[in-house]
Amino acid sequence: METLSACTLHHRFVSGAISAKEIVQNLLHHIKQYDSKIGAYLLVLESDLYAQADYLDEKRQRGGRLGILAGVPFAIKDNMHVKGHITTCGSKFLTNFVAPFDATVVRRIKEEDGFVVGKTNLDEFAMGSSCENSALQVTRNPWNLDLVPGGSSGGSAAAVAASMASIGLGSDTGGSIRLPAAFCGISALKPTYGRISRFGLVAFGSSLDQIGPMAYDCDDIELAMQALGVHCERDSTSLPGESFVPVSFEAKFGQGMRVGVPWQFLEALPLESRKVFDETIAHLKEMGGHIVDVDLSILKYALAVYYILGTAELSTNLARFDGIRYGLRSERAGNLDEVYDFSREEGFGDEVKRRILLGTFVLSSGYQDAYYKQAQKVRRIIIDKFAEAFRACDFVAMPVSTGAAFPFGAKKDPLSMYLEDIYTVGANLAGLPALTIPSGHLEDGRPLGVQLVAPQRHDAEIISVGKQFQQRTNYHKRRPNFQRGGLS
Amino acid sequence: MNHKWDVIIGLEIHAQLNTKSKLFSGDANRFGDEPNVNISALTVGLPGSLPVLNKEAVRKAIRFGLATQGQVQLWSRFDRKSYFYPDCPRNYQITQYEFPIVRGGHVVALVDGNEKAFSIHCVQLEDDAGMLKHFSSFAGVDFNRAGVPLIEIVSKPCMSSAKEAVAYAMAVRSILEYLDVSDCNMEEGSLRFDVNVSVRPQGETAFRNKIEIKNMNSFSNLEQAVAHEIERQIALYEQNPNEDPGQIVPQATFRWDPQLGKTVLMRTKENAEDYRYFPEPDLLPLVLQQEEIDAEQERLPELPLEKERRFVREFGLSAQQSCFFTMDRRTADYFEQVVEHCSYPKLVANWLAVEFTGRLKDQGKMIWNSGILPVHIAELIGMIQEKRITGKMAKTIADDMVANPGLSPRKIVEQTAAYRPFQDLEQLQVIVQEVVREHPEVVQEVLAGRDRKFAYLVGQVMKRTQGSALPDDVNRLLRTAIECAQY
Amino acid sequence: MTKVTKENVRYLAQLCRIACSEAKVDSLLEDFQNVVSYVEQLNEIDTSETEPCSYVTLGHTETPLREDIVEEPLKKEEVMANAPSTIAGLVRVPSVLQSS
Repeated sequence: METLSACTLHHRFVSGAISAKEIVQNLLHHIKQYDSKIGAYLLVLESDLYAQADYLDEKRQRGGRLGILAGVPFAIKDNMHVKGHITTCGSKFLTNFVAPFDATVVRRIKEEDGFVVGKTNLDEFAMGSSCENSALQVTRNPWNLDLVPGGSSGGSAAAVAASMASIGLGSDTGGSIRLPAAFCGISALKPTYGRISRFGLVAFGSSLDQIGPMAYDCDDIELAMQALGVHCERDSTSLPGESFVPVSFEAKFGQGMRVGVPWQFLEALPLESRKVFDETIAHLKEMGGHIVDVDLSILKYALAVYYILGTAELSTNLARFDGIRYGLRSERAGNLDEVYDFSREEGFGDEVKRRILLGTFVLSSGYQDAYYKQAQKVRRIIIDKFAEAFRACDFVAMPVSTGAAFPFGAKKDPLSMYLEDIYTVGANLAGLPALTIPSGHLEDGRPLGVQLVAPQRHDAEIISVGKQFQQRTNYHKRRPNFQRGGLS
Repeated sequence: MNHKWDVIIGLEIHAQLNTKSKLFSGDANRFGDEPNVNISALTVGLPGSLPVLNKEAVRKAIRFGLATQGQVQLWSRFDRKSYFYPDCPRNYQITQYEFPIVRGGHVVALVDGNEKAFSIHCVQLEDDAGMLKHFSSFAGVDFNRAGVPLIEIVSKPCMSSAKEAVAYAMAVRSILEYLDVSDCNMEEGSLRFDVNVSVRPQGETAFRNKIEIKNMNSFSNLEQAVAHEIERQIALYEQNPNEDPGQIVPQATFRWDPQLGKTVLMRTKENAEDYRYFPEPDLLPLVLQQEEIDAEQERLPELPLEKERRFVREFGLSAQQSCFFTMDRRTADYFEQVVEHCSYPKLVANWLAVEFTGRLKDQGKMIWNSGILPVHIAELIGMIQEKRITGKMAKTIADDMVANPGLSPRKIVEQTAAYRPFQDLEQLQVIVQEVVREHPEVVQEVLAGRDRKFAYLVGQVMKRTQGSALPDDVNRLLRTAIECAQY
Repeated sequence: MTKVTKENVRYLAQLCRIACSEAKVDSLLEDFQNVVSYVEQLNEIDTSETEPCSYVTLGHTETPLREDIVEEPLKKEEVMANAPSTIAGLVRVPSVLQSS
């Protein structure tokens, strides 16, 4: 099945060239053929899809108003609620938890007539950079099944890369949308903090989390943002006022664009990746980019700040998983203390436990000033340094990761896994929008991505740059080969 | 009390705000419904739920701050307070630890008839926990209460006796009730106290360890618990004069056991929770405008202290009487409604505070929810003043009014022969003559100037009229009869 | 430099209510120490003049307020259906030990 971008699919459906039923049939056929090897989906909502298809075909037939997402299949990371279905968060804790309400993003998709295809695999509670921490199944990179798809939104990235959805929703706390997108050769956006509602997203790092779209190209990202980038009353951190509005590259950057590059911070980038990054810079220059050196050396501390603040928040966000009101309750538990202690022992995987412990530690009496408060202050410095950089440039270009997708088990040491996020966490700490687009491939075909990080609320601006980039280049058009090789 | 010891008491009062919905979610704030019906995603701590602040709860907190002359903060924020307990749906409470909405303020209360000012440290907005119901071999959680808005009113450690603690608590309760900010119902749990008690020898400046006491759900429990704890601490120190005070009374939390009549250890400081407070990331700061605070200031009603002083000034009540009526706004309003129709406020005060309150207590009612119309009370007193009924009659009429609320005294009198005063003056004259004839010695004593004996004769006449003769009539006729007896 | 001990790990596990066997404590200890050492590099930075950052969004610094209106509650059955154990409309838990 050829990859149909969301925009194309939507237009074909609206014009009558393809029926909703055909879209669903093709999609499900494709999923049945390939997902057994890839493992992107934890749950496929087959009967819901057919019902939705009938509804859409009938609506189109009678000339009813079709939403802007009509005909577009969405894969939803399994840490966002779809009412009436289980939300597992990739954890043994929640394998029986039925969500009693839709996340705002899911409600918006439904309101705009999009398809909710199913729930995708993730690192447990979104903690991880490879998707290997899922307690439930393994997801493989469609480009090479021996490689990780990246994490934590590995399932959604793989689903889109393997044409098992047009748009995947992921969540990004320290890079969890951008990294898998780069590893899987697709485009993705972590929006400005507060741009997309977090209502119905199982929280990890409340001041860091954002839901974002992952797709075939930046036109699709823009389409998704138009539906999802709206104010939500149920999320106090949701941006007030104006919804997401696309901008034209011509209008914004027709006279040229200032591209900031933190060369000093990128000194440690391996040669292969550096080569691809340099090519990206060359493309940006050709697009009218004026390259400016910016000082973001502070970002060498960003990971430490992230692991302190993020774990502090998650240690309290995950306290609610206690075996009392929902989820796993240990059968060994004989008294109340044991309900807590054993349920959490059995329900959580090691990485989650590690992070809860760390988060508890950095907040605990006697350590809070040295760790948590210090991290809050360095966060302030990081925000200020970005603000300084943005006085000299319109956006910053950086790699997404030091390298491409790696084999399963390659990073057993937790710290080495954390270091995968070194280029991505800065945007979460400062609440900045960050777009990732395919920027090239290594010799062995593994995709790499580049990251464009802009000031807050400049989501539309960097999407316009991404669109322009994709008009001039073909990296995003390359797909993993399904008929042979990639999926043997 | 032992004069060698200073007592230092601080009170933390938790008052549920009587908003329609909860602090951070739209489920109903209601007591008494069947379990787990007033719930939302947030209330039950479901993953993916988020808090959004209730405007009315903020308003009520502002009102309390203004009523106590506190500084309402234009910028305050929320914190997470972590602890694990089954009634805590997220295992963290959202509270205002570092930057509360109100700082400072004071409350004036009457202690043994004297006004005394007590200082408030701060007022914090926070959400309540659910209710854990204990059974023999298990417990059950009802989340209806989880998420209900609370203000925690933290006093400075400025009280020095159990009496002062109670006076302060009662004064705070009155203010909350006057402002219509809380139901202040201790049985239902909408008003709760924790108290901190420590003692130290007079002259010592450093604070010794304080004991926190929880679980007192009435003013009398509060008084007993505090008094008990003061004695307990003093006794311990006095019995161990050479030991380190910190060891004799280690910092701990106790709960008041009303059955045992003593405080019982709950946990020592070593087992105390590390709450790990940090700023709540799902909420932004609470920012207020001076204009809205000024508008709330304008809207404040007359407060208990002002009303208490006014009742003394305007109606001539004693401080104690005034306090009785103004402790509760509904009682004060009722009193004023009666006085509107009656020119004898002091009598009104007596009748309401003593006669009616006493009778209604048996029914578990207060004057303001008795169903008796204020005009009827006024009517009754009017009838006494007009001498249409005797004081004694009035008391039985009061019984009837309590038993049949809504029935006017006039009607009661009309319907009951026994209440009509002795109208027949000729008959009364006969009785008076009889009494005079039968007590010649007493008559002589009265004539000799021993006027006290006159009362005896009045009593005799009253007896023969079953108390239904009007005192004025009896006095007049008796005086005349006695004078005539001279001759 | 904070040296993390097994005692620290046991205490933290208790605080955050996750039962950890001795073997688990052992296996967590080294990784935990490594991460703590890593994040401690923040102490190199002079933050004496810096305010801590608690809120990230520029231009959105006031929490929104909602009207005091009662909304449709969650359906009791749906919530109870997720509860591991219920009795008489309550979420059932083992008895609370007085000493804890």
